Amino acid sequence: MDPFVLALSRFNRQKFDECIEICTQMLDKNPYDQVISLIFTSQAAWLLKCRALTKKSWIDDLEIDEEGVADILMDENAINNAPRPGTSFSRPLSSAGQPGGISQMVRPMSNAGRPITGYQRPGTNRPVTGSSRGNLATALQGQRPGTNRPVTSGGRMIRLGTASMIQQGAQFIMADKLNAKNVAKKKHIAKAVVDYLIYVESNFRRALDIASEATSLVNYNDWWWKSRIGKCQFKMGIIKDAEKQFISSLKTQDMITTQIELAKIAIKQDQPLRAIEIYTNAMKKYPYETHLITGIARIHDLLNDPGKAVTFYKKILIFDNSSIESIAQLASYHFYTDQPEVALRFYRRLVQCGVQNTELWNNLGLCCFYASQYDMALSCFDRALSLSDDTNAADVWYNIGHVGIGIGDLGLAYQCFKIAVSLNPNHAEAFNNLGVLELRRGNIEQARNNYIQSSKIASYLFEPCFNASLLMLKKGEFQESYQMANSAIQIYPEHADSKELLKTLNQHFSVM
Amino acid sequence: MSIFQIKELWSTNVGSKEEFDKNSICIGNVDNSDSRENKIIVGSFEGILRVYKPQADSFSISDMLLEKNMGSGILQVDVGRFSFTCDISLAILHSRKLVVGQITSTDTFSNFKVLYEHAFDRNAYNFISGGFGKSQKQVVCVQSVDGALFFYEHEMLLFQIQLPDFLIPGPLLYAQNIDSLIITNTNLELECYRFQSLQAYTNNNIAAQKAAQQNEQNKSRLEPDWICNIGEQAHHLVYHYNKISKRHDVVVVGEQTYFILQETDGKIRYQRRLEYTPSCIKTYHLPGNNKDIYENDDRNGAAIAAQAVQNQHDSPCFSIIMGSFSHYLMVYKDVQLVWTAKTQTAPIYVNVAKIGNMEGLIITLSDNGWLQVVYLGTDTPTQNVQISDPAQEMNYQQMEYEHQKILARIRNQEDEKQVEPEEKITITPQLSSFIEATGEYIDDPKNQLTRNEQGRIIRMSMKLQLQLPPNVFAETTNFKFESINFSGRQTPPVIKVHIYPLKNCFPTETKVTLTATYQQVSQNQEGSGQLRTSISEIQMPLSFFVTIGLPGAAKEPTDFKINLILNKQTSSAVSLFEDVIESLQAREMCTNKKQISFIYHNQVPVSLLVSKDDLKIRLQSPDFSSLWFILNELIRRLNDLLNGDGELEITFSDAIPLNELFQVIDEHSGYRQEIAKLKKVLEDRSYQFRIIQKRLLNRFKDKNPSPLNNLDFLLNHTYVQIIDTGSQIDQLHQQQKQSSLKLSAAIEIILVLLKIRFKMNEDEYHILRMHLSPYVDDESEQGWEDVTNAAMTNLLKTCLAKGGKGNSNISQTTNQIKTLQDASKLRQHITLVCDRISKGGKIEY
Repeated sequence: MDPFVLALSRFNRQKFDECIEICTQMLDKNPYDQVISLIFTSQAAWLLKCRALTKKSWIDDLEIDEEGVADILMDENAINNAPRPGTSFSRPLSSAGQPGGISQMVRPMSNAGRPITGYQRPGTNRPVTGSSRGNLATALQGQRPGTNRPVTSGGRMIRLGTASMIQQGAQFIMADKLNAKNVAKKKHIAKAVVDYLIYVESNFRRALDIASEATSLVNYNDWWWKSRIGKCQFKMGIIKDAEKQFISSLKTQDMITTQIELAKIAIKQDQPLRAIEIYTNAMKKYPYETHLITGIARIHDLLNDPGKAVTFYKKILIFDNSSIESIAQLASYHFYTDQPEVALRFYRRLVQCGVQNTELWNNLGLCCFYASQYDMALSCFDRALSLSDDTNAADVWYNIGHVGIGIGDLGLAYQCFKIAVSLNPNHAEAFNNLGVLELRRGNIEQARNNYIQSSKIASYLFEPCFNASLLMLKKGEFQESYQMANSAIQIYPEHADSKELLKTLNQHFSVM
Repeated sequence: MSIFQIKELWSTNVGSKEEFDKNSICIGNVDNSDSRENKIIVGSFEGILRVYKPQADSFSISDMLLEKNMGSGILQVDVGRFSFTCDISLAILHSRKLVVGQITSTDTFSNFKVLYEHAFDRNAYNFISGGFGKSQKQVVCVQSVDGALFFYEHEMLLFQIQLPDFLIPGPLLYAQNIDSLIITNTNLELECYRFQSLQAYTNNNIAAQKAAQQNEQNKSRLEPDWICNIGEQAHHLVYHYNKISKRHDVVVVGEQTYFILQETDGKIRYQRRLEYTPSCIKTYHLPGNNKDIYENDDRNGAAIAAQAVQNQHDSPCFSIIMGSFSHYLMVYKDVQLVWTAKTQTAPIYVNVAKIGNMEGLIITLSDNGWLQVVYLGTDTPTQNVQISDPAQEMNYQQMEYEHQKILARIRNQEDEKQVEPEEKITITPQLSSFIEATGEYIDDPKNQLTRNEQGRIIRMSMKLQLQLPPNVFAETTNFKFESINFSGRQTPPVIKVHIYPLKNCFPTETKVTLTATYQQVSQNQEGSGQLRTSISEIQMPLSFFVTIGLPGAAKEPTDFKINLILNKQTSSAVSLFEDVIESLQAREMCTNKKQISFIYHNQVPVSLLVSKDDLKIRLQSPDFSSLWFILNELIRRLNDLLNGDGELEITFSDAIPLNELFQVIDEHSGYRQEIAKLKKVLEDRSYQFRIIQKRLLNRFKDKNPSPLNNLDFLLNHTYVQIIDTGSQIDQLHQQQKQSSLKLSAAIEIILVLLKIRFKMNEDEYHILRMHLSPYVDDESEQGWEDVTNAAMTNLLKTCLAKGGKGNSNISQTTNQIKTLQDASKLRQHITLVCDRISKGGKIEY
């Protein structure tokens, strides 16, 4: 067998390591650019190795759009500093006001202070409220102490498995020694080299040099080069130029990938409505393309408009009936709109699709419980616990605690919350509920401490603030009560009980 | 486990540890049997050709018709009409030759016969076949690794040609309708060459063509008919003839996207982005009478989407099965995904064929040789989605019981007060008789550990620590024991400590504190159980600190004196200190019953005189502070002896000896200021030292240094100064320590005298003691003087304020403690406090 044919075949079958091995051997025998007669085989082997290395560390960067801490804190791409509600990700619609929206009372918040969606992916944790955004301390705080850290700019672009590859790769192509013009002239390897620089070395500047040379060589007629220039500029933060490149690329050749990249720019600039417009335009041409529909749905979700998002998720399912994300989103939407039976059906579909994880069984358990199928609920939680690890066991226990409250077994609930807190000392909701239970037991001081702890951990929860305020009012600490009630109103402006409380307090003050 | 899985009809593992690619398999009636049954032909990279004819539901040995080692690796197999000898023949591509052969089979036996071979001088990659150039015969086109094409019409070589700018071979496609060859290049494009132009261009000399292409000046290049830039490496090319729309489609599968191109001009007319990396594709038809997969002209996209939404879309005419490397088979019907099925391995080949008598079975092959004939479907789950095993039905009673048990445990844990374990260590300090022989060290207390009554052996690890008064010395104050055995009736362990009074210091305190920290040790030598402590205290006897001298040895006019008046007659001075005299065996020293004279180890005498009527006691000593120890002892003894009925009154009628106190304070604050001054000097000197060092370093680093200018001398000098000042400070600290002791003793005296002079009760005394504290701390930044001054001011502003307590204004007192420049203010304040107290001011809050 010709080793090169074997290498190529393995490359096609995604056995990149074996392919790289063979290529390395071939290159060791005849180093590139040495003997003129061998130039062909070694050049081909070199190119194949370059492509294999690229594929090995390739990630779908269209899907991954997570901003690093630095980007979030020093975000200067947003165009409007004080946007109107619903026109910016940092100022989503307050949900209660619109049809299909789920009230903040019902739908809990994620750790970053976003309403919980049915599907977690990079980017759903983008912090939203003013207090957590722009605050270095909270931004740098991981979810659990000592276990995870926030995403940094390089973040997910580098996969764990490929961290060591970077070392190897650095020796493979000396990015700094490349002559952009010469590379660009070599038509058959230039694209591979640029991809290598982007995906393996993350050396966007160098890739941009080559791509700019190459695009001028072909008289700006190759959409691929233009979209690569755009990608590099996007990664380097030159967003306006990147946008121009993508638009020009689309003029040469309308591609779905480029459309998505263009929409990403709008998202980065914090212009959700423009992103939706781009998606909608693209959908005129590719109405069946699930990626575009998903994009729209996700934006609606980020804008806190689940009612609209759900229609798009439903549309996705017509074209792709096994889209896990859509099913999960629909399920959670139905759950939070008080239709646990419907949600149950969606979750059952996920089980049928072969999804097996703690979160799913936990949700199944909750649906069963609220659909009054108590016997099933407990065994679902059982299963969720057996699948859980340190990262999610606390949430399962928290939910079991809710079941405990629901069936009136407060002892069980108390123990569950205690376990949740022991597993995750930053579990704010569990602290809040513990506070309520402590109050029932008559331990006022402990209840108060729990509330305060809870509101300290999670600045986006209004419940502990309200609870604490109520408690302090009863204890006669009006000033503290007033402060707490105010912060509850800040988090959830439409909270009727907090308003009522504030009114009472104002009366008290005026009497004094 | 997903219920959407492929259902297996027939499967086998082809070879063992052999490697396959997507071209290693083909399906057809290769042996031209009359029943026209399809056979599966598989050739591995290891060179073994196998032919299978799946029959029953599972693999049996008779399903394999042929197994033959071809001698060299098989790159591709295909069936077709490659020869007129038989209807369907088999073409096998090796690295350097193409073999066309015929398979004949009887009921029991199959045979492979070579019809013809073509050898070539370059390594082949793959081949395609078709009626190139409208030929009636099936022409084979072999692509070599370096981009040469060889066209064979049966036994004859038509021509060969080298493609330009070629680096890595990829899939190849012959578009019948336009008689063109479509290839991929490494510039992520597809190129289409007309067969005629290829034929016209070539000169049949590959080496010469290659050389010509190297030469870039050569203008007469082979130009493709069209180029389509798809921006991805194309992995699969399929030429699909749409029976309904009567048009030919070029289906291209890239890395993430799936395209349909128009064959005439290479425009992309359909694209779809995939969430996975496709591994194989099969396009096929379902019977139907409708339109094509999404078309621009007669069906617009919006219409299709609308149809799909209303679920009445009128395809299907063009379906796709796609395999992914994430182990899935996906079936697309027009633009809709209609089925997903999980496979055990990633399929690299998928096809639909009639096997046996069954139409539409799916054949898949994975690259490790797992050949499967499968169909799609779901079984109704055998056991209705049951979460737990039915045999193991939940026993609620038992669960409840368990729950209660755990709850009870938790409750116990919460309510339980901490219970001390039974075993504990008790320290029993004992003073043994002290040795007088040397007269220098005097005492040794024994720390005895009690016996363990229960009679079993307990092992403890223990640390013992002694806390001694400032004028007492012991060789070791820390004892550490890894494990001590305590057992039954044995004598408990004894630790002996020798302690000595210091000669250069007068006694103030007598208390020795013993602290033991211990932990029970289990068998494996590790401490278990909680760390616990046991503390005991012991008072050193007076006789430890003093000797008795001849009376009158210290009787000078400069002596400080304190006169106490009693309301009860005391017995003689000697009888008060009977035990001391006894233990010091100094009876002969005490001839005068009314007088006794103690001498501290620092040779300071303190005399005690009792008046004739036994109602007055006088203490005198040349050192004021030294009086404290005996005074304290005396009051204690008087209370013990005479205060049985609680009527003893000790009074002190003289003026409070504030002057004496002030002398001590002055001394102490003098030391303090001295130290502060020296510290300032030290700071200056060390700053100077660093500067000189820096300058010197600069000189050393400099290439052309300027002369030293006596800097080295300056450095030396400063160094000596620093060391000097340091040792001076050290000395002063020692002296200050002494003076602190004196000060605290003097304060104690004043406190006691104030107490008995103005008949304070215990509470008042306690508060006063808090303010005028005998505890002198030299370590911290704030000295005793500063704190005391602040405390005095506070007293004067609050409970001793001029208008009495009512006039006090607590809120006005400032909490800031300032550093005093000199002690005169403090003196003034202390005097004032005493004055106010004497005028009847009560110290109480």
